[in-house]
Amino acid sequence: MTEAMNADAWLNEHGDYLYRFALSKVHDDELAADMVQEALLAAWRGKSRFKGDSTLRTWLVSILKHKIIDHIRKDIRQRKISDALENDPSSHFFSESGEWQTNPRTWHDNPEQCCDDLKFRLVLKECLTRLPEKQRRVFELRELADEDTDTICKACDVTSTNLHVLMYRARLSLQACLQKHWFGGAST
Amino acid sequence: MKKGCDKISHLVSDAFDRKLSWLERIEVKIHLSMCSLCRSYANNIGVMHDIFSYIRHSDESGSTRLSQASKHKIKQILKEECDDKS
Ligand SMILES: [Zn+2]
Repeated sequence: MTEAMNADAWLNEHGDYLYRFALSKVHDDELAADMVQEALLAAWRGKSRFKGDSTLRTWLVSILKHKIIDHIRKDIRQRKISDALENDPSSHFFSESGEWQTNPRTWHDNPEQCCDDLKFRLVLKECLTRLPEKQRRVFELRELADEDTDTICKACDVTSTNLHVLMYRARLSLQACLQKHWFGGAST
Repeated sequence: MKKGCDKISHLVSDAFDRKLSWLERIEVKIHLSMCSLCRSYANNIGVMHDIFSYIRHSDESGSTRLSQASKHKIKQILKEECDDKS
């Protein structure tokens, strides 16, 4: 009985935080709630492994992170999302001699204000959606989930060289998309 | 060998994900000092990187909550797990 109350306390005290954490990584309400459920269940089953050398929340988050990465790995395997290395946008951005064809213009906007601007967030979301799926997965894990490159390589089944290529292509496309639709635009 | 903007922009991107070699850093530095387009690009992907880190923090510290229905479901599942054990 006291055990049950403990599990409830975990949910009450950390549930919302874990949910926000998951949601910021997977962008899907239902999936995020499922991840929290799986993480709490796993934590509960493995509670003897919690040594108390980190806070309970940190420990729960680390379990949740594993669950999320695991889910993404399975999803990518199951749906056979290809490497997308054939999706090479560089010929669009550079001439054969390696010069810019779509000229970047310096953005002077304040990043924090962009983040708070809902209209900007919509444009950003749209630009992210346009990326080939594997590029987007890798990019989001790196820039939004702040995962280290080793973890991403394992989750997405890519070598570190592939990861750098995918990140580069994602940045090129996003940079151009945001410039066109937000930062600079109409004049092009 | 002098590298083109395509190669340099790749290195500028890599610098966010790995440590560049000494030689690569020099190449990037020299190229950026002469090429305003690559300077703009480097500035812009830096702005993008900062935007994403703000988004990350605002998402994690926001006020979104688990729905009551999800909470209830999770409670139920945790309870079953506890009951199984006893
Ligand atoms: Zn250049």
